[in-house]
Amino acid sequence: MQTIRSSKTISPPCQAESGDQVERAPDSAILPLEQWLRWWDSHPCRTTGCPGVLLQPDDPLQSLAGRIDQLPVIAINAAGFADGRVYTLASTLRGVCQYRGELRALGATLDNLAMLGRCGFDAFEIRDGISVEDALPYFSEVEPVYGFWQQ
Amino acid sequence: MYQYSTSEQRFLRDRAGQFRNQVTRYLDGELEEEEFRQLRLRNGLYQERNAPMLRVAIPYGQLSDAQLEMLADIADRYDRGYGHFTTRQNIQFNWVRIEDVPDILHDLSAAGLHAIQTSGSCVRNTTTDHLAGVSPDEHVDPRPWCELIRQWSTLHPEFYWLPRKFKIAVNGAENDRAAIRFHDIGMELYLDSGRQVRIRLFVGGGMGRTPVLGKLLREDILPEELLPWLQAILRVYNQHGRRDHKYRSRIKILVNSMGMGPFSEAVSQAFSHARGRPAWQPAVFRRIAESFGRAAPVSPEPRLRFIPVRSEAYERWQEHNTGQHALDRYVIVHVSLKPHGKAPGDMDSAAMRALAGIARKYSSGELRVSHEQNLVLPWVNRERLYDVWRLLDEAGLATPNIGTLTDMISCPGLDYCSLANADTIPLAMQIQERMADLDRLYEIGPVRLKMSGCMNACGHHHAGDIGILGVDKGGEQWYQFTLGGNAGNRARIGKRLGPAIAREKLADAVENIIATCLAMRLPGETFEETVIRAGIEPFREQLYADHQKQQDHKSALSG
Ligand code: SF4
Repeated sequence: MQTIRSSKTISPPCQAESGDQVERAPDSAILPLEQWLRWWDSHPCRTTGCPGVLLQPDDPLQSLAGRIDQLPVIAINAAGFADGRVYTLASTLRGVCQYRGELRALGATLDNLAMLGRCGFDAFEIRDGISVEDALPYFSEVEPVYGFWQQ
Repeated sequence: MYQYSTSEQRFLRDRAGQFRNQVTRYLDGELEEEEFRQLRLRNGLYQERNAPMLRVAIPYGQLSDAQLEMLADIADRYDRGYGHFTTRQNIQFNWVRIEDVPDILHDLSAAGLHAIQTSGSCVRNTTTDHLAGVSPDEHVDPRPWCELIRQWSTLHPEFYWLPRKFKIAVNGAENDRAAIRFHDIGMELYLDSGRQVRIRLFVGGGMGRTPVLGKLLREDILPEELLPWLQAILRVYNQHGRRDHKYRSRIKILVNSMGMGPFSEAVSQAFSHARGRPAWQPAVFRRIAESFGRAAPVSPEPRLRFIPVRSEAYERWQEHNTGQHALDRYVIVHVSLKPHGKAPGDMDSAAMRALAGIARKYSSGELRVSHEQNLVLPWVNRERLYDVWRLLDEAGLATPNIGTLTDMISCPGLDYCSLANADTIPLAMQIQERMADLDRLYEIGPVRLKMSGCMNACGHHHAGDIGILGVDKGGEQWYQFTLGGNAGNRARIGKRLGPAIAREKLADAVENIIATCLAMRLPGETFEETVIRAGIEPFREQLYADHQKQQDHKSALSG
């Protein structure tokens, strides 16, 4: 899999309560929601960076309520080509929860990149066999003229 | 009419270019079948029975003379010289080649036309009253609102992959001519006591296999709250609508399964979470609204007064195919696309060009497409009415049958549609031929006959005074009748009359129903009123008594 990251700087991921030096969770530390919730419950002090979470399209965002600021990365399984829930999840995270960390689309396809980007994804793991060079033009195939979706 | 800016024109061209790339990749085997299917649907391209079909949007039914000419060119250049106007203010070309579609879209973009989101699980073309802006019973012109919704919903990144298709209809007149209670979202514009525009939203209506009337979600909505409410509804639907079953994924099913109370609660929550987003953009709305000014078009006032020749044909046409305009000097002219013995809604390129010419000269270049599959000339000067009739008549566009039984709605059925169970067009033509006698038609009075070739109900049969639904019975075509449906202010779902009728008996059955009505109706009553007063029982008895007699006769003969 290829990962494209937007050039946008990612804000400090995990603000530890004590103001200690924050450690960025390594890429590999992304846990599925249930595991992540367990991790959270078993780390009451949370002095080190917390891992990212991996969401499935039907995962409820409510279970992350109040903890979203702590997440360095939220990855969403976007492999379902026509699964619109991914887009509402992302738009809600950005527009309603004000999440500013990395939002990563897993399994993105060329033809979905632009819309994923417009919903707030800023990192993309695209399907195998597609190079970054091939993928980049797909972000701007059709420049939007109506900006009502911009939050 | 709303004019596209240069950036909007560029946008349409880019969109055509994007589709060209998708087609090339598909033909080169780089794009998977299912993914291409999803992408082509969002560009209006279907794979039908005989050939691919391209559905082009006529946004909220507004069409210019130049656009109609472009449609004629497309029909000649890429199709078999005709197109089919649908019940949703679209036109379909039934014989295109996939390879040509990028060129077609490119050509269309030059006239400000497109096929964006005319199919697929996304927000479709927003439809409205075909008399918007010219009708005397209008409270609020719906067109600026439709255009706002068009802009908002076009390639909206969050709502491009909904569980299923999503249709919005808008009405701003006393009489609902947009069938708002039969849409996923029905929107009604009205003026409050201070004459300020307010909005009422109905949700979860629809035809299809489970016809439902939309339920009131909220009223007294302020203009600036409209898009936030639409966004909230779509958010709840996009997140919670079923995606595992095609027939259970419309919003009406979600509303039903959650219950209207909890659904509306979820929508309210999504609305308050969004804190007024999308933000109201007064300048954007002003630009849109100004483009639909109600000012009468500038057409030279004829200095001489002409008294139309008294011809029976003209008078008949004038009585049936014209309507009252909001301004006295003008007349609304309905152009019938239901000449007896032709497929309802079909129009060939010669007729398109002739009508475009008439519109240019006599209707300020403006046309409308109605959901009854007819066209409208909205700005005809009263003094030029006779000239308009003469030209329409020459072009075969003056069949004086608007609102009568032969002004029927029909989906394409088995002739084109790959989902069809049964023929519709040949039967529509049969009924028209049987009922072609104008005096008889006028005696029968207004009847809305609507026919669909399958449960999907594209012919809106649930909403017809007489509804006909094609069903498949062991490989044979049968037809299910419903009576008493209504798409307007008295929105009702038609009631099933009884067992399906065999294909050969369909036209007889229509005659039987009409005869039953004529035999018992009170003076001055319309077909609709008779059905409401008497109920469907007498119709059922008559229809199936006849049927029974014939069956008995047949078995007596064979016995
Ligand atoms: S009602 Fe059925 S047959 Fe008719 S156009 Fe729709 S899907 Fe096709």
